Amino acid sequence: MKSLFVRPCHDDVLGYLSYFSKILVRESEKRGIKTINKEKEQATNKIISNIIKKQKPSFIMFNGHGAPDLICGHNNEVLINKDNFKVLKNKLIYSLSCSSAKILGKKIADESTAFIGYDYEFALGMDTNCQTSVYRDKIVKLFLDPSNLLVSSILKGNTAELAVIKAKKDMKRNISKLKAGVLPYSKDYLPFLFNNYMALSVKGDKLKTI
Amino acid sequence: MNKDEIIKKIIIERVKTMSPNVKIALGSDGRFLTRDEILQEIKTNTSIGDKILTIQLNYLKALKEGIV
Repeated sequence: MKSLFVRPCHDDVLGYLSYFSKILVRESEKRGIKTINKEKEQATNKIISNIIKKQKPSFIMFNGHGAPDLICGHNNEVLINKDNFKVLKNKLIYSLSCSSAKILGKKIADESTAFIGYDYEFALGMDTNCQTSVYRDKIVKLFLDPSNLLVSSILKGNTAELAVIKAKKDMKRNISKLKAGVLPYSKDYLPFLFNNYMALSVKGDKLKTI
Repeated sequence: MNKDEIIKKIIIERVKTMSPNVKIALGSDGRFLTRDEILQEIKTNTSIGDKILTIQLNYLKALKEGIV
C-alpha cells in the first residue's frame, strides 16, 4: 500500500496547507504505509507524473491551487488536467484545492476511482494575531482540521464516503463553535466555513478504501 | 436599482461590519485578504469579489432556510 502527498508551498495559503498536511505524512508513515512526500519545488508535473506511473500509489492527497478543470503544484504548474487525468484511475484521490471536483473530479471518478474534492472555492480564514506562529492559530484550525480528519479517516481504512461524512460532521461542529462566538470575530468566518461544508463532495466509487 | 445591485449593496454593508483583524483566502491568488481588500474586490467586480458575493449570499439563504 502506498500513499503520495503533494505539498507545494510557494505562497501564504499553500504555506498553511503544507504545514497542516505535514502531520498526515507522519501518520501515513506510522501506519506502515509506504509514504511518498513531495513538497515545495519537488511538486512538479514531471516528478509527480513519474511517481504516479511508476510507484502506483493507491491514495494521493493534492494540496495546491486549482480550478474546475485542473490541479496545480509548485509555482502553479499544472499537475493534472484533461490531458493526463487518466493516470489517476483506480485510485482514491483527495484534492485540497479550489473547485477541482467540479469538472476534473467528475472526469476522474468512475466505478473504481474515488475523487474527493471541492465543487467550488475552498476558503481559508486566519487570525492576524498568529501570523508568525501558525500552530497557535485557532481560526485556521477550524478550516483545516476537518480536512485532516478526512485524510486520517482514509488512512485508517475507512471508505471515501465515510471520510467525507466525518469531515462534514467536524465542519458542522466548527460552524456551531463559530455561531456560539467562542473565538474572536467568529461570525465573520461563518459564511466561508459554511461554503467549504457545502463544496466538499465525493464522486465515483464512494466505497473505495486504500 | 435591480435585484443584483440590491444584493450587492446588502453584502457590501455586511462585509463592512467584519472586523479589520479578519483575513480570508479564496481562490488561486495565494494571499489572505483583509476586510478592506474584500470590499475592494466586490466593488470592482473582480472574480474573487464575485465569488465572495456568492458565498455570502449562499450563507444568507442557508440562514433563512434554517440550514445553519
